[in-house]
Amino acid sequence: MGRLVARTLVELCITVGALIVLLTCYLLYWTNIAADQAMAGELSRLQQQWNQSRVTAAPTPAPSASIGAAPSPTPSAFAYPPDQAFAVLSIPRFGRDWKKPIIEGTGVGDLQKGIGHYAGTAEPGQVGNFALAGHRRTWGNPFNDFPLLRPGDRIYIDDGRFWYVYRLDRTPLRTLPTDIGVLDPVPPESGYTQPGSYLTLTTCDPAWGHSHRLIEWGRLVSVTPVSAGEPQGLSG
Amino acid sequence: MYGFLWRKLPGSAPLRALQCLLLFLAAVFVLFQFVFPRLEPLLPFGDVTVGGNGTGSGTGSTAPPSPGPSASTLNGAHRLPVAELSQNHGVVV
Repeated sequence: MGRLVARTLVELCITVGALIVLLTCYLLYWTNIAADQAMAGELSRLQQQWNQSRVTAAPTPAPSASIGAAPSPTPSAFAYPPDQAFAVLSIPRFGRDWKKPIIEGTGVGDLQKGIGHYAGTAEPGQVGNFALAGHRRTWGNPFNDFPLLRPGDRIYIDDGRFWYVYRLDRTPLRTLPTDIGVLDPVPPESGYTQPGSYLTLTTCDPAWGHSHRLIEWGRLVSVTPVSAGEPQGLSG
Repeated sequence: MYGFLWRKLPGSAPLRALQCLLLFLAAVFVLFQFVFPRLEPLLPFGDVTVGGNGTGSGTGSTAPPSPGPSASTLNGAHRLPVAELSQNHGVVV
């Protein structure tokens, strides 16, 4: 009888150990594989969508007018559809080929297939705060290198019509998860005083923890039509 | 319990080993597909947003993660009205 109990106990321990190992495999490998696949899928879907809309809605190109008309990317007559990619984010600091879809919303599922856009914050290029959140670890580790961001780093956003370039203005700020002021149109801690077109990036800190958040702010420096090619610094 | 399983499986030893492997793979599939995805929001690695009721909660808590359109992590107070959003002041280049 004692033997049976001991054996059952040992088998239980082995099972729990195996479960922990499997969970670790899931977090360290499987989430990354799933996220990379999902992000690649979102990127190609977005590209397809843009190609289609360019084919169907490409009237006579008005090159001279298009630049003048550039700053009116008709925002928010309707919001972006939730849980879908609407733009592509490039951060050369994270790698030459670092390219992730921006998903509308910051729910669990959104962050598993791209960088999340806080619903209700500004759209790229708009006056206000264009705020994004990304995983630092697990699900593709998109913001793994967040602490490496430096003032002067450029953040590129392509929404299929325009390239928006933001320039970061500081090193990452460490703050508390409840500090929603960082998403304000003019965030109090950012050093900005005037209303403008700002960008906020958020992720967790420490890397595997959730006690704090890392925040980066940048400001819009240029908007160019996609037809004019990739902005300087990204292609070069 | 593993001994019991081994005794219950039919066939020769190699055949039983194969069945064990299949059972193990089935268990892994169920875990990866259904169990871990539900467990994961309870771990702290998903908390990358600001705003309190984050996407997941390491403190083992409260609001069930609600995937989908309603899962905004912004407080209502910070949600800008559409009219305000649509005021496009052009672009500062």
